[in-house]
Amino acid sequence: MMNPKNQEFVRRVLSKYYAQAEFDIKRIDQREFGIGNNKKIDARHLAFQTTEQLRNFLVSNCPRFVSHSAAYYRFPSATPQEKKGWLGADLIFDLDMHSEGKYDVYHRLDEMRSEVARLIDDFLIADFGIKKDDMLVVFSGNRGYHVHVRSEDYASLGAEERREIMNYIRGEGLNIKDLFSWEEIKGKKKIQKLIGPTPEEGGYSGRLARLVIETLNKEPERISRIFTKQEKREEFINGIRQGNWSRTSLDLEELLNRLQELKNNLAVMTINADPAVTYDLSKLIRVPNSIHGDTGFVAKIVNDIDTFEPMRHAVINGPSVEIVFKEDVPAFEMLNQTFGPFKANEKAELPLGVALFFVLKESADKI
Amino acid sequence: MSDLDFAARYPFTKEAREAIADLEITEEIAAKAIGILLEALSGGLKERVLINDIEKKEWIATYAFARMVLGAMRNRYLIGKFAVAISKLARKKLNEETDENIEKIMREFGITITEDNYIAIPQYLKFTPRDRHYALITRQIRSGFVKIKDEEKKRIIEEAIRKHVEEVPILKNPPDIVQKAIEELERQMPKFEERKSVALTPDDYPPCVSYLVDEIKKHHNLPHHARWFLAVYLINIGLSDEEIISLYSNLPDFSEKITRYQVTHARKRKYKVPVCSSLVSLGLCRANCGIKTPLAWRRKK
Repeated sequence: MMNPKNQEFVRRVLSKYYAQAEFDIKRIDQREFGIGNNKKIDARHLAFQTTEQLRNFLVSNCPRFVSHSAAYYRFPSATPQEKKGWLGADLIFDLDMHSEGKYDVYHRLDEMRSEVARLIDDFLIADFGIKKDDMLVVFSGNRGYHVHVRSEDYASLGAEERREIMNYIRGEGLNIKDLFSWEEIKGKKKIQKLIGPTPEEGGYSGRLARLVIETLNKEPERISRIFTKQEKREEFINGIRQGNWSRTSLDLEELLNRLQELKNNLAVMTINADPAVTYDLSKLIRVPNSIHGDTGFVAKIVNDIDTFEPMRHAVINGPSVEIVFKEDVPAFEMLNQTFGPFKANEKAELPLGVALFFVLKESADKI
Repeated sequence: MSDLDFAARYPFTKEAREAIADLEITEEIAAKAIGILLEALSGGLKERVLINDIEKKEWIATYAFARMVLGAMRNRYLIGKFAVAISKLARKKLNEETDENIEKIMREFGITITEDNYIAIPQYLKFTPRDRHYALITRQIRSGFVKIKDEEKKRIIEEAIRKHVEEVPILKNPPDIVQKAIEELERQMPKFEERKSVALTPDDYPPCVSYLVDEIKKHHNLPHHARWFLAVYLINIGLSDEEIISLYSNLPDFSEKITRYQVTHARKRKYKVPVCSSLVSLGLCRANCGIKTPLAWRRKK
């Protein structure tokens, strides 16, 4: 529990932020809202007709967490849940980074970007045919990203169907050997020919072929040392392009076993598979561009995932603030500067977003 | 084939609705509707031989009236049985159907399958069972479409029909003739009276509860609201968290952490066991056992 002075500081920052925040909430009048101060959600079943109503509420109440339903309802504030009149729901993908310590995760957040890009390009666009305009990519405000899919085609799917999409993207039950077949060539000696995917194919088949070709060109020894020889490598790659995976002296069964190890590079494993998070049809998700109450970071809508840097773009701006540290804190990169390390009882004057972060992490008090 | 033939083969289509637009519902049709509902309940519908236009129209009307009865009763179990029976019957017809008519039915359900047998992923997910055979991961996929085999096409249409029939519009304030049919149907529906003589044992639950317990023991998945109801019931008759969690561990997607959280949460919130009428609307009622709350099942002894 924060002391009253910190609480007042946080409230003022939030209130000021929400007065000018930009929201992009599709069909806001059909969403259920939840807010929280001590927990992520203390109260739910709230509803707002317009963005301005939501803004007024946030400016005067300043909750530390605000979320809205992935679902659309006829009566979003009705209780119990069955009386809301479910009309459909966005598909939500939640990518989360594992954290070990209190601060270790934040300088590793950049690693997530390629995962998000892969989810969007390889899966949502290429496999599921979802248009870029129907997607909203959002920094979660803490350790990952949320991708909201707001496509009519997918909105009416039930929990089981959503689970199937998750399983597919996570590669659950993927067996590389299923993508191949054997063909017998009759001759003097019985020869087996390995038929497999070509790079042009869709889904996991094409993804595997493309990944194998890329790996052969970049780090051939990951598949076999014989492919460090350009001649052997090219012969094999030319075969793959035609779906013939036999143009090598390598034992083909052994080859398949090695390919199985590439499996984790094909799927997106960082998607949160907790059933309560991924396919609960009444799930609440952080409002895009709202502030995350554990970090003070903006759950920012990301326009270009390749150039987005959370520690730069999701930190709110404002005049410097003086704080005193309650514990030792390691050095920290934010807003293109290094802050700290700080010792307990040390005072520092820091940019607003940085000070807010340490106060919310309960490592410092506002002076 | 005439339009009426098509309508009688597929009584759930737009053509069928149009064919009986000016037909009046008679006592006779109501009686036939009760008949097909009982038939569906006991395992499936026989194929009808419909000789003339009057019989064809009557058959369509019987189907339509049966759905009105279901819309007023809201017994999910009966609705489910009826939907399965109707879709299976339609499947038999589909097997000997022309491509043109198959297209017509697909259009009606918004299903499009390309010439090289690709179907849009959301449709595929809605109309195929969730098992290994239909897992997306085993399929060819290309920008929003998934490849199916020729023989799977009719299976998908059958499932679309089942889902359509199952979505019965709620009928509030049913007309007298429907109300009377419901009473008659309830009189004739199998009752589970023989269970009342069974001595009180831990297995002695009302049909709605024993069905769920059996499903769990068979390792079938249950929807969330069924799990919630069962947990609340078991808490209320005095089972411990451990006993409930151990039962739930039979579920294929069992997670001890989540189950424990939900069971302790339900106990803390002191949820009341839903009354029978709520269970009917939740689709959890299995029989007309003449009590008002599942808790009365034990009190009666």
